[in-house]
Amino acid sequence: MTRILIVSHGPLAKGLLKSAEMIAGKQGKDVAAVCLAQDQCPEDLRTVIVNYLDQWANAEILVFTDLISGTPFNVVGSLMRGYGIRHISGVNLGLLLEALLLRDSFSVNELSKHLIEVFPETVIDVNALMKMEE
Amino acid sequence: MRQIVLARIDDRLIHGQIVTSWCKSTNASTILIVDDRLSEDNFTQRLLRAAAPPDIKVEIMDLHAAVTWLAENDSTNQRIILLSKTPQVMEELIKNGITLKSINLGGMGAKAGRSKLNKNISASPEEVNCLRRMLENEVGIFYQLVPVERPVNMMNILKGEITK
Repeated sequence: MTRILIVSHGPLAKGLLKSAEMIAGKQGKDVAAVCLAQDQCPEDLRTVIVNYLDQWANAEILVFTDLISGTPFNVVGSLMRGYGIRHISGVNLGLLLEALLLRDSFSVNELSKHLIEVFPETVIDVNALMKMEE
Repeated sequence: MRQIVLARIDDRLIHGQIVTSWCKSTNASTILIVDDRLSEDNFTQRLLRAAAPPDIKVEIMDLHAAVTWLAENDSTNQRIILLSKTPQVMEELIKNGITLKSINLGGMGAKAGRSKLNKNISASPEEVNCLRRMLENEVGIFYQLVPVERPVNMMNILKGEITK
């Protein structure tokens, strides 16, 4: 089953995971969240992430980061050279839930492709949506 | 000479503060990263280019190429954000005839051999000396993470720091 790591600026990653667990149920140790602290240097963050990637060395891994070009993105991006991970940036709750619910039925590559396909559906202009239904 | 709208020392290079704040406030069209090692690292170049906003051109050059390129006349009026990881690169550019009136110090992370000057800036004795030399040569150096913050003169941060 695909293991999932969420990496964010500040507490978002842990919060996202907790919120997702409200809906999808408590997750095991194969889903983890790493939060970059304000005064933490990228090398430190890298060490924490590498620790997970090494622990999960024999599994398929999907890493979510919160924002393109942010430090979590940059650090995870630099690790794509040495680790065969899939990296999706711009995670939100809808996307994370989709990944949690489908990760045992898809390979990490299929899962990533699916997530990118459904991503537009996770951001909705509700006013426009309601007018459509009038 | 090409137009440099911001010269910044930041060892994170292209990241959120650059992309969301500085590119907009300086109306930059180009980011030039000057780094001898990166100029030979294709993987990291691909990552940096992927991280930049689609409307920003990213150039990655070693010092020699950057000096030549920056000295050229530019008919297309590119607005360049110049990034380096260390102050030494800026000093070398100045030595090689590139005019930098003011340098923005945005981030030098803690690591072995560096001691902390403030929350976001750590420097080795050699880097401190380099910053001092530039200040003595009347290059303004200002610590400022994002445009909405007030710039702090590096002279004040270095006060009390013993030159080794």
